[in-house]
Order: sequence, then structure tokens, then C-alpha cells
Amino acid sequence: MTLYFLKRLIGIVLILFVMSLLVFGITQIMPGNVATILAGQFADASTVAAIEQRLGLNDPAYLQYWRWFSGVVVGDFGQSLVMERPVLPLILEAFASSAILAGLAFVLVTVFGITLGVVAAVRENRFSDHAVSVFSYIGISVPEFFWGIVAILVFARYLGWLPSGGAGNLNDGVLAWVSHLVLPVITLTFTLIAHVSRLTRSSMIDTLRSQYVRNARAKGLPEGHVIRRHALRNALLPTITVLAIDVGWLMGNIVVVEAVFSYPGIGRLLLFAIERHDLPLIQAGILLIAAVYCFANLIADILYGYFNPKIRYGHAAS
Amino acid sequence: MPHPDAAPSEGGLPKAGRLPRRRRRFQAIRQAPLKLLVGAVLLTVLVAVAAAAPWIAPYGFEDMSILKRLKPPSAANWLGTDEFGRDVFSRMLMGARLSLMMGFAATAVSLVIGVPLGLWAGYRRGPVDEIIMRSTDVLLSFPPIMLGLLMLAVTPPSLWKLIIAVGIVYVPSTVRLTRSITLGLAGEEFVQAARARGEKTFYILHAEILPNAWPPIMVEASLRVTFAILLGAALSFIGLGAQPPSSDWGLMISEARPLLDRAPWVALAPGLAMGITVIAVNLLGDGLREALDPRTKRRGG
Amino acid sequence: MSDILLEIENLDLAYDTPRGTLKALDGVGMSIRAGETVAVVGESGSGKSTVALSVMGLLGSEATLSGSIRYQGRELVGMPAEARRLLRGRAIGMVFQDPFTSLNPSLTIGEQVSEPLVFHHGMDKRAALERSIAALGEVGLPDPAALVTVYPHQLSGGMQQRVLIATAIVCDPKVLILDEPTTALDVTVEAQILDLLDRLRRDRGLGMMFITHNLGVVNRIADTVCVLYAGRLIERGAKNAVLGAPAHPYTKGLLASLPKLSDAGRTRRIAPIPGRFPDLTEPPEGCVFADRCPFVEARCREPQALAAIDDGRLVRCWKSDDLPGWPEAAAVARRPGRSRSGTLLRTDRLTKVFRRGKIGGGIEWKRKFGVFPWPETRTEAVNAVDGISLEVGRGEVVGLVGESGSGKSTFGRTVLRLTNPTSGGITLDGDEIADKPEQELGSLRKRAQIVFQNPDSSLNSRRRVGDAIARAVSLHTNVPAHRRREHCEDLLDRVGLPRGYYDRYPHQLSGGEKQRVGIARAIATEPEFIVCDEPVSALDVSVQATVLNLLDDLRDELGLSYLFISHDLSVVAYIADRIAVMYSGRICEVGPTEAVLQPPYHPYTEALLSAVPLPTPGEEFGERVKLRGDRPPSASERTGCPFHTRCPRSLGALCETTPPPVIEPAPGHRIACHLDIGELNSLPPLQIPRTRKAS
Repeated sequence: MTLYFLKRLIGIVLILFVMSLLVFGITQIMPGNVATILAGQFADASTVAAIEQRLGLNDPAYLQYWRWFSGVVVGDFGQSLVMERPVLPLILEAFASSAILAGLAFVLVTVFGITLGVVAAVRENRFSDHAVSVFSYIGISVPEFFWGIVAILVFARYLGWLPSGGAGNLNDGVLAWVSHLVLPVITLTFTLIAHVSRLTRSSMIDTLRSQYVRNARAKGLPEGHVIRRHALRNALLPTITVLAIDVGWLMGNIVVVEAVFSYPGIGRLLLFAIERHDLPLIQAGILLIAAVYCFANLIADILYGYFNPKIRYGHAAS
Repeated sequence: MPHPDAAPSEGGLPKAGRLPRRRRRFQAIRQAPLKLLVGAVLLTVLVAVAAAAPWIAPYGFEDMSILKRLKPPSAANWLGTDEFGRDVFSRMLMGARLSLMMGFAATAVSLVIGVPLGLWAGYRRGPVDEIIMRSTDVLLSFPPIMLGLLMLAVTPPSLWKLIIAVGIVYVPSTVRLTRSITLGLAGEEFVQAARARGEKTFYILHAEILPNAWPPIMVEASLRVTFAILLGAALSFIGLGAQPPSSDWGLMISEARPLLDRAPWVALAPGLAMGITVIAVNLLGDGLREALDPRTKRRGG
Repeated sequence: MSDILLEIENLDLAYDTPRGTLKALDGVGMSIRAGETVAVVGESGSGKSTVALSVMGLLGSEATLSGSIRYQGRELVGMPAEARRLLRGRAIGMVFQDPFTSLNPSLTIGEQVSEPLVFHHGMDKRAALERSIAALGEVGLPDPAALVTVYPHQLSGGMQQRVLIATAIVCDPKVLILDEPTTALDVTVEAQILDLLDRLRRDRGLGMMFITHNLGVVNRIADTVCVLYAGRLIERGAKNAVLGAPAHPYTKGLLASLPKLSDAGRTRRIAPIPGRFPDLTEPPEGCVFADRCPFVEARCREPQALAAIDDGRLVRCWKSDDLPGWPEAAAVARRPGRSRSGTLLRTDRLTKVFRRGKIGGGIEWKRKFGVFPWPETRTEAVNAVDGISLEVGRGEVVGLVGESGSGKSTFGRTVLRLTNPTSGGITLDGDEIADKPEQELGSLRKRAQIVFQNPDSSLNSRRRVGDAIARAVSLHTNVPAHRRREHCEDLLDRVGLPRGYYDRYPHQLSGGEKQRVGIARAIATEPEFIVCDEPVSALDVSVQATVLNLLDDLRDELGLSYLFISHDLSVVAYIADRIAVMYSGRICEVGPTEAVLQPPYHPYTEALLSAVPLPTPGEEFGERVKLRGDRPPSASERTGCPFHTRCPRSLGALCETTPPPVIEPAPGHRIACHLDIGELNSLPPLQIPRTRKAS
């Protein structure tokens, strides 16, 4: 277990390092000279040169990388070029809003996705199974931004129950704050539930057909106990991995959903930065999102190892 | 953007049971015809419509008309018109071309790059395998849309770049799937027999391993087509894919967003079209998977 | 008749399949008394496991069951599911075939053994655990109290099977159903488990239904035998009667097709059962065995009833009274001891070392890509093949026997350079091939071939049967392209397959036919030497005989040499001129077949021989050798003689520290053992007729 944990921890450090290289490298080949953008279209050559000098844009790439990277390690992501403020607080503020969305959606996805998947597997080929199946088909067949738009249309425009976008302010009361979250969270949840429930179902069905479940039944244990104690735990092992992957999916969807609902989170900030070629902001945003995803995977790996005795005891296979 | 890596069938080769494999498959197809059949028929229709779009569309997809701005669905314009007076139905038909091409071309990109790498890594093992696998680790550590974002953010958006970017997003998972299948097959006795008669690595990979690896790869690929369609649409929606005046569905929805109050049909039509396309491909892929998977036909004794 | 625990009458079972209704069982009946072991014997497809699942009520919903199953007079067919469940485990326990997949990987042994007690007897967990520890002790597991906190993957296969048996008996059921409980285990471990089961039956007065394909196991454990073929009960009677004087043609054929260890059995050619298993969706109207039966007559095409014959046996054959024995295939006796001329293949201290993670070995820091620090499990070297020197003469068959993990398959593949040796030499006809680069192995690839174990995996399911053969022909022979197809068809002909099979796909072939294709592919390069890696282990007994005979014939016709690898001593003894016995990567004994099967032999050979279950009543090993434990030595224990950890005749420190010397009791017969030749000579010989339990 120690080794298993160590390997993953070191692996993540390495991956983040390679990622920083990749992110930095790609943003370097972005078109449009940063200095020109900053100085404005009509600035003269000397102004541009001065800016280049100030930002060290004429230094060799590795030096620029090193400057950037050594800052990142201590939490200094530089200045936003467009907003001319330090990147870190900007990003953190946006990230906090997004985390609320993502966190709520993740909890809902976990609870409902697993429940639906297990119910469908236990009642394989009966009505509830088919109902879940149809539901998940619809869920994964249409992109989340379309669901977002449909939700806005129905709940905000026609019914007028909920606001169509933006974030609520806690000063206006909890209800107003929550009401702004409902639609984005539902939209995020809907497509992911389908994913989780489908995979939980198939893994649960496999487990229910396994030799050891048959053996448990041969011992005369009540079916409920067989499902809960013998099948569920083994069937949910792959679901842990799936949930971690869905965190990545969630972080991707959040970009789109924030755009649909004009929600001031990290996704919108990132899109804004890309539009304006704000390099430090892009670099920090993507790196942060990737890092969160990495740590979600780390947690999943640890949980997986913990619930899997083969890893917990002895067999320290990769 | 569904992540294909989560598919439970990864590396799960159909195992031969008592019934011969091929016969099982025919039986299975007869038993689970509905999904497969409906999916295949639906997709064929969609492909035909997309191919014939310029001829069957009632209007040109770029034809504007100030007089006909934001008209609701009617006999003349079945799905109404958009803010430039363009016929939504005609644009939707043309969008089918882009969407299907997006899905299939991006999947093809991921296969062309991913399958050879996976075969090589799984068969030769060693340092090459190590390097390939660690590279996929890094790529997989980006949430899928971020990788697309990163690639598209740096250059002016265009459709072919979108296709390449989406294709590359799914390369790591293709590599992993192919590798795990290859790993299993490399130990099979018929591969050992080929080695024992002195076959070259290339021959073993393409004549012995690949034909057996195709079915699971194709099942995954067929589902990945839908992921590619959805991811492509999402990237177009946030402005990093197809550019106006393209009739890409993601872009159409994005453009229709400010008009939701007055003309919801402009956004709903491409959304529904995309839903139907994705359902068709999903049905096909799921039907294939069930038909190829002996687990669905298990019997005691 | 109140002591009848379980009575099955007229059991029919049908499955709905897309090709029609499949009759898996038809008119099966038997009864089991307390203290009695009833063996249900049959090949794959006979429906023997289905009988067990029917009794347990564990069939899927697509099965239609009719007939009667009574447990102590209570009818089980049609009983409500909940009442049925209460009988499972409490009244009838069951042990499944594969111990490796039958235990839940994420629950402790303690929980898995004790939970039936909680549900059936309402015991609290603590008391249940205590009872479980007693049960684990009863099935012969060492230190049961420590075992309850352990997870299944930490146990060996033999221990897992013992745990499963403990689970099945912990609620004191009266009937125990065992479905091939020893098939996945090595023969020495099998012997231990059979002893255990026999003891449990006596101690607890259990009625046992023992399902198996192995007639030797039947002979060792059963009182009554039911022979199943294609879902029909075709013969039932006392064990000695059925195995000693089989009445139904199928039973006769089954016994005749077994290779036997006795002298007479080895020199006489085994007689296979011809033909294929019937299609159960369209079963023949008359006798299901008629198509393969050498005694078939017109009346056999009418439905057959079970008829009682003199000694209380039931036989489903109208003319079982006056049948001769199974016809001897080719009355020609096998030429014993064919002479060899010169050495074809020789290995010289051949070694293959694998590295594997050492359990509890701690962490070792390495460099990934030579740069990044990276933790790895400390590895240990596993000598899969540990300095083996062996010769195969031209035209000679050398049998290599060993249990799983002994390294015999690795040796076979290393010899062919399918894996590269770590050290040592391999010479083929004087040509050193151990360290030649792959590109220069062309001659080896032509002259040496391999036949594999698994018929399903040995052929590429996506390619025609002819393609693989044609490929070998085009790579290694001068047959011109336009004659190639004809040449391949000749090869199919040669292995006894119709020429038209060239265009078939593997799935259209039966297991035995696939194995023949594998042989045709191997001889297509016109080799001199073939490694046969367990070529008949995956086949049913009746098919195994035909493949063995084919290999035997080809050897004479083509002048081939074989390295014949098998875990089955009877098969090896049947086909090989010389036998090498392998244990944990080393050869502990090698010599002419007759010499190896008689004292003096290595204590491990003795143990193997005594563990082989013999199918003929009365033919029994004097005293079964009891081995300690059930796993080969770990890397740190592989000092001195590798067998010292289990050897019942170990001399202690000497065996543990010093590699054994090689004794040569006769020219060409070598034994690696510390015991002196006198002691080895006095080990008990194989066959001492002896009356077994009289029950």
C-alpha cells in the first residue's frame, strides 16, 4: 500500500511537471506578439520593444520557462496581461465559484448514478432496468449545453421559476444564492448520471454473474445480503475509477455550462483569457484544472487500493 | 464529453465458450437485433441525408433574407428561420454533414495514430512501451475538453484543426485499449505458433493480432464517434471550432442563444438533430458490443 | 429406506435457445444415502454440473425443470424460492470447481466461512467465528485462528479449496455436492483433498454427490457411479461393477480410451471412441450414443429405456447383456523401446530466470528513464528453469512431467527460443542456438515446431484452417505455390481430417479436430523435433486417445522426436520412451519409462505416482505418500534440494543446504537425491492390489 501510494504521488508530481512544460510550450506558439497586444494596435516600435524588454520576451525559451516555473512553484503565476492584476487571486476566486457547482454536481452524480445503476443491474431486463436505460440514453445523447438551453427555456423563460444565469450573492439571501445554482447543477448532473449509472450497471451485472456470488447463493444467504455484502463492494471498485474520470469530464463540462449560464467561474475566466490571449491566465487556469483532475485521480487510486485487499495486502503491483 | 477510457469492456476480449465463436455471434445478432438494427437503419438514413443535403435542402444554407427574419416554423420554412432569415431546416441538413464528418474523421485520426502505437507497445513491451504509456498518462491527465482547448487556443479556429484536436484527445484511450488487447493476444498460442514458424513482427501484428483486435476496437470506436461529435459541438459552441457562417450544430446553437426568447426553434432544431445522430451511433455501438460480448449469453451446465 | 437423503427421479431440464429447445437433462435419476459417495461421471456437455445446479436450485430463469428431487422426502422441484434458500448450505452444501474464483476477493476468510452460521442458525458473529475456526481446523488448514483475518488471494489453490469445503460444511449439512472439486488442482494436492473429503464423509456421515470427468478419482472415492452422456443417465451401479465390468458401450469406450500406468496398459494401444458429440437441440430419437457405438444395430435407433441387469445395475442399452469388450484398435502391439540414433537436441545447464516482486520485500528506489527517482518493489529472481541438462535423441520421445509452476512449459518454450534463456546452451543437431539472434534462427524455426495445449487459443479464429498451414509450407518448404493447397490438404489428410477442412474456420471444428489442425501446422514445416506442450490436457478422455494415437503414428511415419510435456503421468508413460520428472525448475529424475515407474525412484516421483488416481478397481498404490504443504518452495527456500520443503523422506539439514548428488542406478537412469541407492530401492513399488474400504 505504501509503495502503491508513493508511486502515484511521485507519478503525479512528474505528470504535473511535464504538463507545465506542455502548457508553457503550447502557449509560446500562440500567434500574435504579446507585446503588440499589450501596447495596442497603434503603438510605435519603441513602446513594443520596451514592453518586450520588461517582460523578458527576448530571453531564450528555457529561461522564460524557468522564470515562470519557479514562480509557479511558490504560487506566483505572474500578472494577468489584460487585467493587470496578479493571476492567483483572480483564478482562486473563480475557482471557488466553480468548485461549488462542481462539488454539488459530483455529489448528486455519485448518489444517483450509483443507485440507478445498481437498481438497473439487480432488476436486469425488467421495467426499472429499461427505464434507467432509456433515461441514460437520452442523457448521453445530447450535449450539456443543449440541456442547459432547454432548462433555461423551460424554467427561466416560460415558467419563470429560476434565474437564467449569473451567480447569486449571499447578501441577497440563501434562497437567491441557491436559485442561481439549481439550473447549472442539474445540467451538469444529468449527462454524468447517465455515464455513471451505465457503467455501474454493467459492472454490477458482471459481479452478480461471478463464481463467488454463485457460491454465496449456494451457501443459502438471503439475496439482499448477497447483493449488499458480496456483489456491491466488488462491483463499485470500477465505479471509483469511473467517478475519478468523471471529475475530468465535469471540469470540461463546467467550461461549457458556465458559458451557457453566464456563471462567473474558472471556465468563463479561461475562455475570456483565450479570447484576449492573456497567457499567464491561460497557463494558470489550465494547469490548475489539470492539477485538480490529477488529485481526483490520486484520491480515487487510494480509495481503490483501500477497498481492494489485493492491493492493500502485499501485491504491490503497479 | 464522455471519456472512453471508462468503458468496462476495455481489454475484455470475447472469450470462446463452448459454442464456436462465429456461430455465437450469428445467434447473438439474431437475439439482440433491435438496437443494432434501429441504430444501423437510423445512421444509414442520416448519412444519406447528409450526403444529399445540397440537393434535398429547400434553400441554400447561406441564403439570407431580411424579410424572413426569425419566422416561426411554417409550410415554407419547416423549422423556421434564423436572425438572418436563413432556413433552419436547410442549415440543419448541412450541419449533419459537418457533424458526421467531425465524428468519423476525428475517430479515424485517433485510430490511425492510436492503433499502431498500441499494437507496438503491447507486443514489444520494454522501453518503447514505457515511453508510450507514460505519454498517454500525461495526456490522460488533462480533462478531455482542456486538451482540445489547449490545442485550439493557440491558433485561429477552423474545422480541420478541430477534427485533429478532437482526434488527438482520444488517441491515448485508443492506445491503451489496443495495447491491453494486444497484451492478451500476444500470449495466445496462435501467436506463439506464428513466432515458432519464424514470422516477422510486422506479419504477426497485422495478420495474427490485428484481425482479432478489431472487434473490440471497433465497438469502442463506434461509441467514440459520438463522443467526438459531442466534443466537437461543445468546442464549436464556445467559439473554438467551426466559425460563422458555418452551419455546424454547436455553432448554430451558440448563435441562437441570444434569441431564445423570440425564436427557440433556431436552437432546438440542431440540438434535436444532434440527439438523434448520437442516439443512432450509440445504438449501433451498443448493439455491436452486445452482439460480440458472450457475457450477455451465458448459460449454466 | 429412511436413510436416503437425496433422491432424484426422472429429472428433465430444457433450455430455450435461439436454435430451439436444448434438452440438457433427460430422465436422470439417482439416490444418495448417508455416508455414501455417488459419483456423477461424464465428459463436457454431459450435463453433470447441471444436475448439481438443479439440486441447489441455482439454475437461471431460462431453464425449465421437471421431474422430482426429494431431500429427506421433501420435494424440491417447485418449492418456493425462500424455502429452497433455507435448505441451501444448511441441508445441502456445495463446493464448486474453481477455488480461485469461488471466494469473494474482498471479504476475509473468517467472514466468508462464518456468515452462513449467522443466517441459518442465527448465531452472533463471535460465536460463528469460533465455529468457523473449528471448521477450518477440521478441513486440515494449519493455524485456523490466524486464517480468519486473511484474504483469499493470500492462500494457495489447495488452501482455498479447503476453505470452500469448510464453508460448505460449517452449517452441518447432510448432503455435500462437489462439482469437479479437484480438477483445477495438482495431482498431489488432489490426493490430499480426496483424503480430506473421504474423512469428512466418514466422520460426519455425509451423503456426497461427487461430479467429475476423471475415472481415476471415481475409483478412489465413489461407492456408486452414475455415468452421464449427452444429458442421459446411461449406466448406474456400484463402483467396482461399473469400472470393473462396464456394461454400456460408452462406459466401455471411456475406460478403454484411458492411458493406463500399468505395464499392460502402456504397451497396448489405447482405443478411442470415434465420432462427435450429438447436437442436443436435435437429439437422436434412439440411443444418444448410437452414432459412435461400434455395436450399433437397427434397434438402437428406437428410444432406449434404463433396464436393470443382474447385479442391480441400470443400463440404458437393450443389448448390454451380450456385448463383447470395446474393440481393440489395431491389434498390433506398440513397439516398445524404439531405438534412437544419435542426439538431436541437447540442453546444457539451461536456465531461465524471471524477476518478480518480492512479497514484503520493501521498497527499492530506481531511476525512471534514467532520470526520475521511482520506487519499485524489491524483486527476487525466480529460477523457472534452473540449470537443466537434457537430451532428446533422434526419433525419441522424451516425456517431461511436472506440476503447475514446475517450469516445464517455460523449458519447452525456451528450447524453441520463444523465450530467451538466461544462461546455458541449447544445441540442435550440433548447432548452438541459445544465443543466436532471432534473424539467424531460420533453421531452428523449420526444424523444430510446437503443438499447444488449448485448442481454442492455438488457432487464429479469424483465419481459415488452411491459411496457417499454408503459411508454414510457404515459409519453410520448396513446395511451389500452385501445389501448395494440395500439399496442405495432404497434410490435413495425414492428421485424419477431411481435405475440405482447408476452407473452414476454427469455430466450425471440435476441440479434437482443432488439435489435429495444430499438429498439421506443426508438421507442415517438415520438422524433426516437436515440443508437445500438454497437447491433450484440454481434451475429453475419448478425444484425448485419438490425438495421442495420432502423435504416436506420426512419430513413426515421419521419424519425429518429441519433447512431450504433461502434468499427467499416465499420458506421458503411454507415449514416452524416456521420462524426466521436473520439480521447481529442476529435473529430479530422468530415465527410461519403465525404470522411472519402478523403484528406485526419487521421493517426488514416488509421491506423484502414488497420487495418480488409477481407474481400475483393485489397482492401488500401497500406501499413499503424504506430502507436506501444497506449494513449491519460495525463492529463499530453494537451497539444497528444492523438494526438501515437502519431502516426507527429507534427511533434514543435509537436504536443506546441499544440492543433492546424482545417483545412476542403471545406465541412463539418473536420480538427484541424498538418499542412498539402497533406500531408494526399498521404496514401495507401484501396484499392490489391496482391498479398500468395504462400504
